[in-house]
Amino acid sequence: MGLSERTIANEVVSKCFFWRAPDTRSRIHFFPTAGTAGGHYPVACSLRLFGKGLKDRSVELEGGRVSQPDGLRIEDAFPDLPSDISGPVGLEVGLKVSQGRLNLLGSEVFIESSSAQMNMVYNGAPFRVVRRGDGDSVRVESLASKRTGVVAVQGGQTASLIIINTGLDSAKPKLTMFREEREDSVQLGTIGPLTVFEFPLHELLMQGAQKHQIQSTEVQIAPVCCSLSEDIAQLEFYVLYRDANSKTPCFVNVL
Amino acid sequence: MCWHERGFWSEIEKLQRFNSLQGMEATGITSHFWIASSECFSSALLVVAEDVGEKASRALVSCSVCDVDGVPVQEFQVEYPAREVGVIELQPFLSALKMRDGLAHGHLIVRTNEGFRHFCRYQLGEQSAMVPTPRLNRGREMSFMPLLLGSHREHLLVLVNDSEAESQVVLRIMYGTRSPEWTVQIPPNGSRMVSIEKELLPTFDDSSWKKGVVQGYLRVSPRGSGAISSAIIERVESIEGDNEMYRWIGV
Repeated sequence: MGLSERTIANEVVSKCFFWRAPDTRSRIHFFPTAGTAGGHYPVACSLRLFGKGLKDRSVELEGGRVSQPDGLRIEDAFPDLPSDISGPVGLEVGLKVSQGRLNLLGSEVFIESSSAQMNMVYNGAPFRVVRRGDGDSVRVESLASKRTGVVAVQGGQTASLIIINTGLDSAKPKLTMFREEREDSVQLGTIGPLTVFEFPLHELLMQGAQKHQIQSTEVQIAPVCCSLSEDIAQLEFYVLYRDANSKTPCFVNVL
Repeated sequence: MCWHERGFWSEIEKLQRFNSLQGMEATGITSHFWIASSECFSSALLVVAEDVGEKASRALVSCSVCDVDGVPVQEFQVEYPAREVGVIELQPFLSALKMRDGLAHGHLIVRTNEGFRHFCRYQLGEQSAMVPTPRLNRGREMSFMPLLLGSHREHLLVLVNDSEAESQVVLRIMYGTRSPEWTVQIPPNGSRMVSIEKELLPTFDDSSWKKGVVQGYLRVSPRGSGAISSAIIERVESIEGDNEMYRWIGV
């Protein structure tokens, strides 16, 4: 990144995913907000969809305004979305206003997926600033080389890590789990550009995670850390919890 | 096993003599969580060091519980090995919470040194949710949450005033072409729980939301010098009315 680059807080992105299954419908809800600034300025909202077996595609949504929540069904935004795809599908949400003094970092996005068996809504990753170079190069502002969080699984649940790469390069993140006296690291493989990758955590968690009795329910709890030797900013990490029997997703949180 | 069950009480009592909660705030990080004590809702606090692998020593967590009116009813400190996740089941600390809005609930203030993350794990009926430090809205900063309005659903809005000043919160619900607005007053460090379908919408001259399922949005914006965090607990009844499911919607 050169010195000529500038940080633009009036252009932000959030990296999310939605759950795709034949009987599942998903909806995106977004709220462009500019902190304490008033005024319903027009907002350009873009959705970029990507994932395994999918052609990278984008749509621009019209009519967005600062401080006005809005939403739509993802199937309406992408009517040609193949129906035979199952699993997590990547979605990058971009917001942009032409007023350079407005800061959209406080904007929010929710993703909702529902079917007869599931009813899941989660808060997407915080919006990150887009940094723009002299040419057309665009990067997302880097935060840190690692993300640390907690996985807590109770009986009848499983957990997996969802990794989203919206960058132009492949990435090889490492997952480290900590136990009382030792730590175990595993390479999560190569995450190609514009892909969503799901890594099961359940077996790793079973091996020596802390066990706690919370309100008579046994919960296995472990700290997890995802790190990358290169720039981690093109990646986003979520923990997805599922019902162990039906494999139906229950809830999601950002790592 | 939780810390209070491991016989940490004597250690907690000793630690209470050290750093006052206010003293830690100057150098540490603070999170504010809504908490409740009931058969349906329970909560546990989870704390993890960001550089968990490099921490060899012990970590200190200071907590203060305030009731709905913002009155501190319990303060405690817990120490745990910093290479682990600090897990504090909150139920034993919530017995002094007052009943209001049909539930004993309040506000948990968590303080640690820099370099730690705080989570609250809620058990909502049979569902659970893991919530990181809630976002604070100050001044006229706004938050939003999606709502699916309908006769088989109820949305319980939980609001926490994370400041020492009384705060007014403006709630605007947007659905169809309608956008009614209400104002809720929350005392310093206090909390409120508001049923959108039972307390707010019946005071507005429209019942179209009861027919079918209507997509709406709630916009929350504080006024004055307070700082507010908010979330929604959605309760969905089965069509037969014999079962209900909860989910957490929050930032």
